[in-house]
Amino acid sequence: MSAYGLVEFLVIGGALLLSAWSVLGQFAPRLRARLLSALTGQRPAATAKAAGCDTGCSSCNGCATTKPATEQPIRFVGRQS
Amino acid sequence: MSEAAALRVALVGNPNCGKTALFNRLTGSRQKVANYAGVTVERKEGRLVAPSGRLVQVLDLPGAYSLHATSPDEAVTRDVCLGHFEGEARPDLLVCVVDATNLRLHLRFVLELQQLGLPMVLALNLCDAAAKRGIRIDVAALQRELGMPVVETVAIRRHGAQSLVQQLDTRLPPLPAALPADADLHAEVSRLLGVAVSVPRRTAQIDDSIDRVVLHPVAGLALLATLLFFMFQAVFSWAEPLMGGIEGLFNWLGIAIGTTLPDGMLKSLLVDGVIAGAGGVLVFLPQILILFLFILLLEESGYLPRAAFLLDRLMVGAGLTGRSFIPLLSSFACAIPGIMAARTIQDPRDRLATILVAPLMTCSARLPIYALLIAAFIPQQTVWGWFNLQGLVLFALYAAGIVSALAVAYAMKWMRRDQTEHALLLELPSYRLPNPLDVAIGLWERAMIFIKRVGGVLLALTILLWFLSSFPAPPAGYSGAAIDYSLAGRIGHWIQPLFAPIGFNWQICIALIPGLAAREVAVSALATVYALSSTGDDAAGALMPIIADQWSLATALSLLAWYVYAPQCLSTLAVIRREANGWSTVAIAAGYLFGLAYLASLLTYQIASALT
Repeated sequence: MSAYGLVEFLVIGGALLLSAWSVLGQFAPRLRARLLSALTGQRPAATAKAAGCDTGCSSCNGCATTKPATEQPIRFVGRQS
Repeated sequence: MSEAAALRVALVGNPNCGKTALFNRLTGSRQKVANYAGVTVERKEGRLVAPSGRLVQVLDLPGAYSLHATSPDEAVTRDVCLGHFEGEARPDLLVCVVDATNLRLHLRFVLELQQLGLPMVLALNLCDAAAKRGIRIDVAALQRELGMPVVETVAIRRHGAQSLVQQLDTRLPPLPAALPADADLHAEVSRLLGVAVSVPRRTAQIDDSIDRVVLHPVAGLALLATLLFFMFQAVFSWAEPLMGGIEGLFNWLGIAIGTTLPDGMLKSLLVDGVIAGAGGVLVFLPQILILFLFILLLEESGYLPRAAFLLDRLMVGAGLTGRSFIPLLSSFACAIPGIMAARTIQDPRDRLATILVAPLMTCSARLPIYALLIAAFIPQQTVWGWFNLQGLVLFALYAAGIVSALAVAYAMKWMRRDQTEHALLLELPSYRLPNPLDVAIGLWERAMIFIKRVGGVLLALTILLWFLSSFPAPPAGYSGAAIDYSLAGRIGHWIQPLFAPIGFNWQICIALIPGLAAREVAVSALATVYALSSTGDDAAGALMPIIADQWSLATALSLLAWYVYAPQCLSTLAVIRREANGWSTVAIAAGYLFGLAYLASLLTYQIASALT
């Protein structure tokens, strides 16, 4: 393999790995954390939940919450008769 | 100093009194602020170090009118103040932020908070605006009557929170004397205003005279329609020179790299993947900024709650509530903050309906797709002597999203048994002239968000798609385009029969898949796929002329119709699951959006094919 071929291989391989890692972090952060822990042999650290402030969409004003977003799911309460 | 020893301070107050602006000023954060109620729906945390070195942890809480919470965001404030919020210690000090121009409303909540038995400081925010209107506040008298320190703040000014920081740097104030539980708070507010505040009669005259036009049932709606119409015209008319500049830059870059590097995979990755793909999306930055310029101006001016008030009747008729307006409006930027903003809606049915229709609002990620197809297929001509045809089509696409949302909400209302309606109670803030610096910062942030998105997830997905579209490489002597032999090409050809009735070719089918991760990726994916599909030397050519040449008008219109409804990006579906607390709602949302998208595209394609 020529020197240029080697550089080409390394650049493309690196870009692909980085892209796959980045996409995993964006859309499946827990899976990425598990993969990382399997690779390093360490326990996975707590990760932010996917989507919502400070995670998934990255299209709001970049909320910098220090804790994962609080869940406030819809709860239907039956009428009191 | 350790975090455990830090002073825990919570910013509380009515909605739209400037808590978040004050939080940003104190902590250096950049949380979203706007001139309407309900911008903050979650607690936010930040820190500041006082001049003495004291560490202060600051909590920004959603606005509330009372501790008797009626909506989920108000419940957060109540629970934090009472010390019932899971994982959150009770604050050491409450900083009650009040709008100095509207003390009659805001002081009532302060009196209620006094009953919590926590040390308190009153921050008279917007005191510059109050002074401009001739409102005179006797701070010493107010301090004496309330039994708590009172400081003046102007959260939007550089040193506007200085007095509050100095107050936080001193010892905790003593507990304020609370009123008896059965005290008449309104009467007490009137007494306080009589003692400490003098309000000239002309204060509200300007607002009232503007509101006579803006809130008029006919003139107000006409004004709103004109504003929105002008906004979409401007998106196309104003952006063109800037877009041309960016496009020229990327074309030059593609040619420069193409001529410098030898033929091979690296050249293909850079030219066909990175430049054609990510560069093809970055071209739309000017249009996105123009759209957000208008949204920021409307947010800052105080017009948006008026629009909610105007549309309340229409919203209620369709099974929503006027309170749905702000979440739905937020969804024009992105459905995720819109869905989260639905927490300000008290009724769970109204909230669910708003969450389900929020994805139909045209998020900014769809703008590059619309802009690409409109520029390629709709001639740039003036109609009726004044209007830009491309702008008209864009307006129609946004209108189609809004009308569809109302129709879906109406269908949900028709299906549900509970037909009760909820009256809209909404505070109309005073009008303000937008601060050019704030607007400029807002636009800068929006530009950075878009550029980071293009350089982040979009670039990553484009590189992955380039790989899938390039490998496996065809055998020697293969005569067709290499992409036909690749994995992505095979997937595209495999699913194309499903989309054939709506006019989508296999290249579009490939682009739909990464488009599920983020909508704009569909544009970069198309650019990459077409660049790799080319067997000639024009591989780095711009996408627009290629699709204008190869697609029929019916296909383009069908794809536009698809993206009015298209199933949501994965992040949106994840937020729906979280807010609705279950996958069934996600299945309903994804199912009905996919069904509508397919139906709309089918009708559009078949009708357009028959007519052209």
